Amino acid sequence: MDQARRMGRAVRWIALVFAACPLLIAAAGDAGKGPSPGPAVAYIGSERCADCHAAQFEHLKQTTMGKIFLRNPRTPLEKQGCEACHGPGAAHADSNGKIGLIRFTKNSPQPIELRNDQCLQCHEKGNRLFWRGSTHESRGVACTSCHQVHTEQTSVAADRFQEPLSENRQFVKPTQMEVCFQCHQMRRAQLQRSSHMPFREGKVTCSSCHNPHGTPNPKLLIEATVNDTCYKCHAERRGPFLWEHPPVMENCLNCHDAHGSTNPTLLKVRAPRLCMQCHDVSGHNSDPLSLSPNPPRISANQQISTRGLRVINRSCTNCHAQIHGSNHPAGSRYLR
Amino acid sequence: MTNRALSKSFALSVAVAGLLLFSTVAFCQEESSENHGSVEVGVRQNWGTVYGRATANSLFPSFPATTGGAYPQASGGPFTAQALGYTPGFGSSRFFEYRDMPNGFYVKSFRADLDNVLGRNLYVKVQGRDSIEKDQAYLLTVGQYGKAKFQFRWDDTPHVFTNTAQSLFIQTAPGYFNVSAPIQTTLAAGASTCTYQQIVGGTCGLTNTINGLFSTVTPISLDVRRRTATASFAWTPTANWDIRTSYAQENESGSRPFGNASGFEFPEPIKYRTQQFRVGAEYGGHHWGVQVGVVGSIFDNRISSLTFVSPFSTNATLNQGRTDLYPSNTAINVPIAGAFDLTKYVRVMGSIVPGWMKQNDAFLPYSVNSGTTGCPGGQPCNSVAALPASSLNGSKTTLAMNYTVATKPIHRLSFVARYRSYDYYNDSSTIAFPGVVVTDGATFSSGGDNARVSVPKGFDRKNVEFEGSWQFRKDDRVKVGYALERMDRQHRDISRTQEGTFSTSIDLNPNKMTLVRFSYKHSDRTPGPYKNNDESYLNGEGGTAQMFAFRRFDEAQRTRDRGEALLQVSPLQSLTFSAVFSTDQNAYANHLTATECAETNAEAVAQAALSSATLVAPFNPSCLSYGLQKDISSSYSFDVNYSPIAQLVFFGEFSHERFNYQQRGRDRTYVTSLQAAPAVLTGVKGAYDDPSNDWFSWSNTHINTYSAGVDIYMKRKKAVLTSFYSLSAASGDILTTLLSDSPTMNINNVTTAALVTPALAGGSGYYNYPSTTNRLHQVVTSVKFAITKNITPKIEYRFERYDQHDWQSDIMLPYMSAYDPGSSYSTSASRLGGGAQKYLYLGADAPSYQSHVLSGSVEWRF
Repeated sequence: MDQARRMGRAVRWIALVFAACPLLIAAAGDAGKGPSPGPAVAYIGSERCADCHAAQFEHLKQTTMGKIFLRNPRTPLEKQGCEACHGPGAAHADSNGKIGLIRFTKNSPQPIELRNDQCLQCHEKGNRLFWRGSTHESRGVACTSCHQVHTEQTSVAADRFQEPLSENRQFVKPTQMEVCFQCHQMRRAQLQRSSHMPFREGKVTCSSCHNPHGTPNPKLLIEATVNDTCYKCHAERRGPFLWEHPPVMENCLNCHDAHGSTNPTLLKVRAPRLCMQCHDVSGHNSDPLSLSPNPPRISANQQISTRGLRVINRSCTNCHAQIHGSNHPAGSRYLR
Repeated sequence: MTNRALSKSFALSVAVAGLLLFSTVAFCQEESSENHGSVEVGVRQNWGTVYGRATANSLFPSFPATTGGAYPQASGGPFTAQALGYTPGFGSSRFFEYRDMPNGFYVKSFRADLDNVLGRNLYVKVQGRDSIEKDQAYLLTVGQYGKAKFQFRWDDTPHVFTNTAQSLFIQTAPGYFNVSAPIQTTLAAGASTCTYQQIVGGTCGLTNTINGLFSTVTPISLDVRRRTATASFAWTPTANWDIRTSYAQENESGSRPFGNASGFEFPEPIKYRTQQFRVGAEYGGHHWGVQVGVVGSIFDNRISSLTFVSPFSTNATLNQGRTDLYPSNTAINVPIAGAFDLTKYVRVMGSIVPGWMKQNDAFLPYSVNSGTTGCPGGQPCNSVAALPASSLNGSKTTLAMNYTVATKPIHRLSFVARYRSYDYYNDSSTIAFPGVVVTDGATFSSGGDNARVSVPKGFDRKNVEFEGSWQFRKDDRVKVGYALERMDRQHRDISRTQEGTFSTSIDLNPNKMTLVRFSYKHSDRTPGPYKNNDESYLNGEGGTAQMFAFRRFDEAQRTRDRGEALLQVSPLQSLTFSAVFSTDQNAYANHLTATECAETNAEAVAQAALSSATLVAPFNPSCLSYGLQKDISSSYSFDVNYSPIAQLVFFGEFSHERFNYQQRGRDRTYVTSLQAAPAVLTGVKGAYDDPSNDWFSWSNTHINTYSAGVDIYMKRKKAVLTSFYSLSAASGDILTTLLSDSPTMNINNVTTAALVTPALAGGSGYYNYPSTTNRLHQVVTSVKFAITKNITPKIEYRFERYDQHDWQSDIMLPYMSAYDPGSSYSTSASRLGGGAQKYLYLGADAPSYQSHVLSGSVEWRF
């Protein structure tokens, strides 16, 4: 309890310091500076942009965004077409391109925050409601790290991974998963594991579970918890059950690795050792080859016997088949 | 013509007609653009082999009396090769685990876009993939840009579990498995046990009989198929409003391997229907927004129980068994979320999601058998009248709350504070069951440790996080944070745990071509006092069900260190290189506190007494904790892309991962006549709570993944050659040592001399498990050449090879014999007339395969 009290005190201090920082800084007069304002307002219209940037303009016209901006604008901002994102173009045009606009390439002189702000002018709602303060925002990820508007998709080795059918094709890589793999490389390796969800077969993808634009939930999950995420496809395991198995109820990831595993059924560790991380054998022999009155040997320390009936196949769940919860009056040990 | 061929022809006709119609309309649009869609069709041929069932020199020999032949002798030495029963064909192999790839004509994909239909900014888009196959998918979108969108999605997903299953059972009605009377009569008359020598010598009548029966049973594939239809509608009446609704229905049907405590395995029939609906609205302006919605899910299991007749008993009143399958349930969540900019520099975000989960399926009786006796009040045990309640009336209420304040007081400095709360309140009924019928063949046992209480388990998790980020150069930043998690649990070992986490990260862009990221987290979890011990007494049970001194990893004291480093370099426009290293190291308490130790030892004495046993040896002299001790993983990976000229792109990837789990356990078993008590405990049901039976185990997995490929563009990108190879190679082992056998690991100071025979002769747990390996090779090469602007033929070859050595599944046969003469459970009546000798599996395995797929296709763009 002492430690808990100490931790609580530490948290209060940290909270106080965090709360005080903005006030102190604002009081020092820095707050007024804020982000630098954009270029002077002088718009020229998208058609004039197309005079020099015909290829980009043609590609923009094919995108949903281009079709809304150029054909069916709903707001004054959308009516600005190219300049809605790149800023007023008069100075740029008048200087024959010597005066720059807001650019979204990797080498853009504008900071990421300013570039992202351009996108958020329209895309602040929906999935982006929790963008600010999210993991990706605070690590300086730009919208254009993942999305593109003008450039055709680059081609890496084709058909490595399929993806669910989607209208959203404006990724910097051929598939959404490849976009995420740019930073999350190990996830690509996990898809190749023997036990996997149908990622590479194109039935689920990263955004089936995560919202990379930010959520209020841990790990950018769309649902409030890991289990709620899993229940979207495995609703049968939701319960409530008469006999709940607590670690199952709390977090599927206690036993499973959702991104792929070399053990059966996405288990983190092969049973029976997985079960024995929390339970003793309680009379259940756990040898693979164990007791026999006259055991043949396959090596100096391995014996053969079918006493391993409790270890082979699905091991503990050969009998404890309802390990996710049972609703049978006699199912307290998840046998029925 | 088969049904499948007929439906395929019909569907193809519809698809082709639809596409023709579509393309006609597309060309007649008011404003024609170049590309209205495409269709890729072709011809495909696949072939391959399946192998890998246990063979010569494998870790396991064949089990006796399956195909005859010599069985290895006790003296050891090399084994005689024996094929393990049925070797399935390629067509049902694991290659098709989540996919379908029939030979012949196929429609790989199609897409059609109608734009600006009737000059009203309307669009219609249709996409399809793998049409008329078990993994087909379609997406139809109709909408008006910026205003409204209707979508209909259809998705089929197969999932093959095994193709080696055999069963003597016949499903006579959904969820009801019977055996033919002659088989039942034959097996019931068979001997209940055979000696090892009889089995080896081929003179065990029962073994021979069962194997004879299975030799006539046709193996089957067990698989499920999900068919999901989703309709959604989004409407944006004004720039401020968004209305979204969707409805999805998924039907899942098929079968999967499913076990039972009676020793039989079945193809569990799956017939699920899950409906999900969402209704939501969002209203927002610049820098603020509010979202409100309702999300509902209704799960309906149309086969709610699995009943079977034992093939080893002809006693009509006591030869059935029944398992309750997943109950139907419902869930509703009401998400409410909002965000607004409090000032120019402060944004406040929050969400509140109350939820409800319900389940009220009728209980099954204690037993399906009229011959089960002893139920309360003299009620028949196969009647629900013997139960204290007819259903659970299960109900859980959840409340997820999240609040975030993000502030950026100056341009380069930002702070985030978060509060999360997730309350999982279980208000299901508490039902006291006076006794239990462990399996349907047993009698009703009451009193003592047989009573069961369904205590409603729940938890409440609260998190507070603070994070500060300083952008010290244009795109360089450093981040520091602290988070605290408090977890309160009901009816578990520990009612409260607290975990504090310090985190820091730095992102550097030393130049335009380089990005470097480091992150590190350190956590300490502190559990509250242990209650000895809610989880040791499973669901209200008394007795010695579980050993005290286990410290379960999800709530035990833990220190955790996680680190990651990322490097991305683009020294040239044509070259990018990245490398990632990460590690996650968790250490759990390996000793109990003095207080916990004293309590635990006292509890052991008390329990031994309750079990009419006498505890002679100290239960836990070194005050060790049991269960998971360490969980360590690390990985590194490299990724390079290089395009020396515009026509050439190379890529290569490598990753290495390691997982290591370390755990301590103890063998405890009930005293039996076979295993003479070594004077640790005496009595009929005492456990061998003897430190000399402690063991330590390491579960290790190593995985290497390699990929390399090239894209070659020729003739101004009219021709493209693509080729890649990938290999995922994994190996795992589980090593175990009996602590008392190892002087260096003998933490309990139990000398080997004191263990003339280990307390459990040949005791479980301290043998190493055989190694497992699996390797997946993939090679893909394709060439496509645009002969006109709209027509691109393509030839593709795919090779895939999956090698698996898994001691748990490679050896599986529907009947494994079982030479445990005289073992404690071989004649147990609770197993419906059978014991270890009479286990009937499915023989489920998904063996290795090698596949080739050659396809030729044409893509037509219109």
